[in-house]
Amino acid sequence: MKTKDVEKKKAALSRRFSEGVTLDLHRDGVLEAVAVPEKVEEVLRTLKDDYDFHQLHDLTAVDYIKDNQITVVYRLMNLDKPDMMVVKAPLDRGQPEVATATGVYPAANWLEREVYDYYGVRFTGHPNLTRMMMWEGFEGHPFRKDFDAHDQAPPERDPFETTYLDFSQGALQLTPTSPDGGNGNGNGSPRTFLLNFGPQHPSMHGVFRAAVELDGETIVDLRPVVGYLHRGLEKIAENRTWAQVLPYTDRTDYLAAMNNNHVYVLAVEKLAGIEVPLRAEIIRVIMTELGRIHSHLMAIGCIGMDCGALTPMFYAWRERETIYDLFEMVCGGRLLTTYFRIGGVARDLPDEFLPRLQKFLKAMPGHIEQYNRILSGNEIFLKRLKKVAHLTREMALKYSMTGPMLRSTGVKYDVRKSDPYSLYSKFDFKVPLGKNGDAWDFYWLRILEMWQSLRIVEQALNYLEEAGPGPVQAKVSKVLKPPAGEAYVHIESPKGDLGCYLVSDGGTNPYRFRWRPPLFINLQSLPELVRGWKIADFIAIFAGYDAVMGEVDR
Amino acid sequence: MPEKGLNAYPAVVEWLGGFVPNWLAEVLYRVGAGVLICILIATLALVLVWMLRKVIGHMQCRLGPRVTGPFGLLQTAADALKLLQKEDIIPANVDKLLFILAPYVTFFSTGMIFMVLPLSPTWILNDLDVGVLFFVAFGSLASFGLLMGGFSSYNKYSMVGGMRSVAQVVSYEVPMVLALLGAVMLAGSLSTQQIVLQQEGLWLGFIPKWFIFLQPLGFAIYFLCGLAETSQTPFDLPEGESELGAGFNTEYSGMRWGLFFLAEFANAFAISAMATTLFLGGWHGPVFSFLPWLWPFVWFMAKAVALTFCMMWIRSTWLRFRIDQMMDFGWKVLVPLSLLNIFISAGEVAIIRSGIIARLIGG
Repeated sequence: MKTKDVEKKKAALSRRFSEGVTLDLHRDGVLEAVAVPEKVEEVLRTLKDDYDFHQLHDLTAVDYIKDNQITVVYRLMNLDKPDMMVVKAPLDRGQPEVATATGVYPAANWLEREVYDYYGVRFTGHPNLTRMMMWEGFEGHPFRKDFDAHDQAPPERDPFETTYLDFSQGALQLTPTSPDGGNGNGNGSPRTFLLNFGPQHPSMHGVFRAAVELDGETIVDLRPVVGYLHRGLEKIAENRTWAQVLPYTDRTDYLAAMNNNHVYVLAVEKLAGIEVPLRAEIIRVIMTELGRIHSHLMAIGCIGMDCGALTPMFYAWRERETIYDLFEMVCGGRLLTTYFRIGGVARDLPDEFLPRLQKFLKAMPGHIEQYNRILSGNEIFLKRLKKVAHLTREMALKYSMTGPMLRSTGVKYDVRKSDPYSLYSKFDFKVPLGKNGDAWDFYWLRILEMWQSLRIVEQALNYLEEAGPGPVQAKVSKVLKPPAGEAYVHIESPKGDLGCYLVSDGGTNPYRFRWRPPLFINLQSLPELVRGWKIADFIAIFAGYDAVMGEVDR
Repeated sequence: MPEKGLNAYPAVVEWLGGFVPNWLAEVLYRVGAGVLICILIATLALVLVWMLRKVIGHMQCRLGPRVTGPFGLLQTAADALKLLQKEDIIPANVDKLLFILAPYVTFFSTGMIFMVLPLSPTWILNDLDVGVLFFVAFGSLASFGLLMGGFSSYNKYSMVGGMRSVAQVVSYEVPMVLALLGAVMLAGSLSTQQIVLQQEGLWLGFIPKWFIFLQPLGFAIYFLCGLAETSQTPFDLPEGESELGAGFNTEYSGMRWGLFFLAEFANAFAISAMATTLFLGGWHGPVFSFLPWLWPFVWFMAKAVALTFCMMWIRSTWLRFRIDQMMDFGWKVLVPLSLLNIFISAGEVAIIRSGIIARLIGG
């Protein structure tokens, strides 16, 4: 967005909100509004209705203990332009309270619960303000800077037991339909029953849990429960140096470790103003696109497997092995690579890497054709996915969905195109779009995106040859101390719009490290999407999310 | 048409009657037949499980077992040993009687089918006059076992699996029986051995007189229904591991689970063997002078195993129907088609009886 437009918008907004709102323009052209708590809801509503910020991109908080403030940060997005805007609400640390944003942006639901869990901010009017990641009965709010884990008494009851009891039928707010509603079986008892999918279940992709209310095989209602894989990544990062955080990012979306590395190093480089050598940046693009192919391979394999076809999964694993071999060549790691460094990459490509990659690029189109023959063209597979689930544009925006699922509704939003980072503006590729927002589109877009990724890798290889040999690591001081301030970078990870929000106080550690997990935010739409479908459809739709719980729970 | 000597039952009982009282001969024959069936099923499972692993392994770019013995031949034995050693868990709150009984019911009903399989001209344990009916009756009994297992497990996944299994068998039983009727009408008999005997000879000197050539539609419907009856892909909804954990057998472990597993394989083979009997000419095939009594058995087994291989092939390349799609397919596609098939068979019977073809081709 041009600076002039932003200035204009700033002037218009400052006229609109005379009191209690101060506007400020960031270095990178992002408009920031600081509002007093009473005004927040009004500001958000105005921005949504009159200024087309129809998506709540992120909602988080930072504890500024020196100012005795907890600041809630709302990040709004206009996907059409695209345009970003930040709204900040500094709250009193003693009694942090602000009106909920769920009325304006339904996607705020889980995000506000998370902030409540971490910081103890009370969102008045929130429909269900309970802890998101920590167990009920946990005392204190771990992300407050004066929180000390050693003060914690060990839990009296086994945390698992607590969770189990509290999440039983009543607390899940699933009320089996009353017999009076004409939905009974005639003998007074309700017709529906509750079935737990997960946390241990073959197709819950890790430890996702869905409490499902069933009427026969039809889903009446569903309540997702997350947090079983919570490792406190964001909290850990606050106690590590800037460089030490890097390996932890691998472990969020562990099927796309390279992409996670990328967003983090980009954010730190932006914060510290580090210039990355061209060669390193090209290598990064190659690696992240390979990571995308790898992640999509797993996604399509899993969609097939969840519909009952085991074989495509093995074919996908065969190609995955090749990508892992390539990763192993450059960094020794296969699943968790930690190849990127702040200011470059760990080491240059080994000699045997490029021939192997060329071979892979040559073979891969044939392999994709093979998936199409065994899976995409299968009558039953088409029957199982086509016209199953109906994701509309409105729903996708309401729940702040990103990634292939958003694009399946026809919204052209790919961060690589709309907000080009790294070198993506130099490459020629298309953003595949869906039409129906059904499970088939979720599947098919991933196949199409693999083709585009292959194209990008090919172009990047040519580019690498043009650029010639050179350094792959910028000069970065051993003890990195980025200047006080904050930076936000978002990239297109295979799962969606992955963001990294860093706040520095000028020290050796991040002051606040926020990971915007696309899957966590996407998953909120699951109940609405599967209501009224059969069990088997629910499994197929859920596979379309390509959920990796490492990222959802962090 | 030879009528006698094709049934082991009277011959063996008569022979035994020479040594022991008649009632004891009857009992001995039945016990012996049971033991034989168990041995047959165990041997078959041994081969088929290994074959499944190898076949699907190769189809999925894997090798299959290769460490246990030459070509991994001992894999099944190792599996069986493992299952036998495992702790036999009966969870709390289950309906114990039904829970224990369920795998045996399934295994028993599958085993009974082997009674009426004509393995060779002389090897049939009991050539019943209503052999086909007997097969249909016991084939559907297997779902009782699955329902018992699912219902008694005190587990919602199991219950949904059990219910699916019954819904499936009930809906696919109808087109299956209607498809079988075609072959029965052509043969004019319900006895399995008689049906095989009707398929003797060649048309035009090179086409074997198998009913599949007269009943291609009937064969296709029967085979699809057979897949549904034995809960094979694409009708493996009762297990549906990605939806229901493992469906009806979620709570089973050790050898109880093993019995379900064994019954599944035996059932798949029985369906193939029945298809061989009814449509593929049973044990008919060229007989060579070397061990002439063995060849029919070899042909029968070869045909049945080839069909089982097709099942494995389908298993590795297709995926699962959704419950309502499966029901639609059964009731809206297969039932009308099988009714049509009956009309076709009636026409064929009329033509053959009238002797037009015989006059035309001089056969």
